[in-house]
Amino acid sequence: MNENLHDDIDDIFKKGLEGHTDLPTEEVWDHIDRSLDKKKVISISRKYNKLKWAAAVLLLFSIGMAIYNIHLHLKNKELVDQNYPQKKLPVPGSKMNNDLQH
Amino acid sequence: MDSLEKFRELINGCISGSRHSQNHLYKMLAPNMYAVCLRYSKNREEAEEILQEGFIRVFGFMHQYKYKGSFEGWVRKIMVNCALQKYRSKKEMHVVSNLDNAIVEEYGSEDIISRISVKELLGMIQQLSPAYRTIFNLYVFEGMKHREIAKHLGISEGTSKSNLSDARLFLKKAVFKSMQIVDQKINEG
Repeated sequence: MNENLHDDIDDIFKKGLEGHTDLPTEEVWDHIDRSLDKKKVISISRKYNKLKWAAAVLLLFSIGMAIYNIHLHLKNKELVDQNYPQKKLPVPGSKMNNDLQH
Repeated sequence: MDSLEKFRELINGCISGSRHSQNHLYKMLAPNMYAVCLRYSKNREEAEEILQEGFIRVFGFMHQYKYKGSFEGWVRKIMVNCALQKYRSKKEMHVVSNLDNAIVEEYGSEDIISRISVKELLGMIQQLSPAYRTIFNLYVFEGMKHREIAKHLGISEGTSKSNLSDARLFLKKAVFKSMQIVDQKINEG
């Protein structure tokens, strides 16, 4: 085999194909166009997914706060009842009432 | 507005998702990039698949381009990576179609380039097995060393060297055969 050619084979292809250009079919851009549209839809749906998650977290937080507030309110009421017990009003005709009359 | 400013505007348009800018950039670069893809593929359909995947990635990752080095070089790298990914997913190795032993003749490389068309040269590369074609491309056109090629393809340096040598031998025979046909036509004419 020609030794010169063996050394030059890389060069033949490099020089021979240098600056080579070719046109793909129109379908390539159509596919890219459609694919970019799909990605846009996915990214919008992802954006809404984030919003959905944010709303869920906010809802859970609100429920938690409501439960905490009810719990706090009940506890406060209990403490008030313990510290300031209400005196029972005498019932007319009861034994306690008769004693008082005497 | 100078060309650099126009170019930046085009890139920014593509990043913001303007389909008009994306189409403009595609039309600018597709002919060169398609030629690159053709060298890494066995036919035009496969090259178009790589080109399509490559441009989708280009538009997806464009915000990562830092204006360091040529933009075309950056796009070309993405195309080559797509071709390598396709090759790795197929993993077809060492399948070479047979060529008859060519008769040894003296031809100068300039003579060969002037007598063999680009289409024919490209056809010869496309006839190589995917492994030989990929290694020949990475070594000759991307200027990679065997160590880099081995790393990219997950093979040993020795395999890269022997595959390149086999690819060269195959191409040499193909070139001889083609030159013989050209000579034959000249003689007949």
